[in-house]
Amino acid sequence: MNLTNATEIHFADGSNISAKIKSSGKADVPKDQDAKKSGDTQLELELTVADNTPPGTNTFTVISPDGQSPPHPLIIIPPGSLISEKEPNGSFRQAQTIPFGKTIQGVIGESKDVDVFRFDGKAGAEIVAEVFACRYGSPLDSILTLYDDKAHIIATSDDTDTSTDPLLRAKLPSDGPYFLSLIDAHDHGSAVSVYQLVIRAE
Amino acid sequence: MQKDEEAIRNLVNRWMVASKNADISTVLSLMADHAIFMVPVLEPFGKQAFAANAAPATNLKSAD
Repeated sequence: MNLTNATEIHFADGSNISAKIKSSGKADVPKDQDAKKSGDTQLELELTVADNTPPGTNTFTVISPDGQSPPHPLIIIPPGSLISEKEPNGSFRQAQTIPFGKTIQGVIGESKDVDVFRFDGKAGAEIVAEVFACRYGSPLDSILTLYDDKAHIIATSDDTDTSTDPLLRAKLPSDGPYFLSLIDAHDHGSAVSVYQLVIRAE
Repeated sequence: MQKDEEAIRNLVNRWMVASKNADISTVLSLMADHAIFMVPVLEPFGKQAFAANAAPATNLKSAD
């Protein structure tokens, strides 16, 4: 869809969110990306979100003289739940420490980029680590791998039956530090190869 | 830093290729001795049970 012709952003009926188009124009196509897939136009929006808007996924469509776009997700995350990925985090030594139950917002910013996270686990704890990327429109095709403190692999996840976003479940074998690495399966990376990583105890 | 990133990517790629090719000995060499597998329907099981039950056609991607 050519976003330069967009006239309106439409949220589902009953939504507490509205959007105003501030500007539109051409966008750089990230390296390794197909313009037909990633798009080469962009919009700048001003969003108004009511105070009582619950956390969760809202959908919107873009209206233009060419028609209406498919629905796209807009994720509302509770205040204090979002953590930004911080570089450098490309090694076990420089892994970014993350707590359970938070959402990490990150990006595989360049080709062959690796993001590593560290958390402390307890023996017998069952954990789930989940990436949300392609489901939200990101070109990232990620692989998630869980390691013990000796960099031996405990579990890995590539795709699920329904998406290329990984979902990793594991039972932790001992008390101690654990590491998660996130890479692109094709060694691609760009400013739009964004992801959200959630790690939680079950 | 780039060497560390390359080493991690190589490690993951070795695991993925070995899994696809049912190369059990490589998978076992990369796996933590105390790894516990969580597979739908089955009770959690460890590396020894995994090695004992691994068949040549095993595709470890399903064991995520």
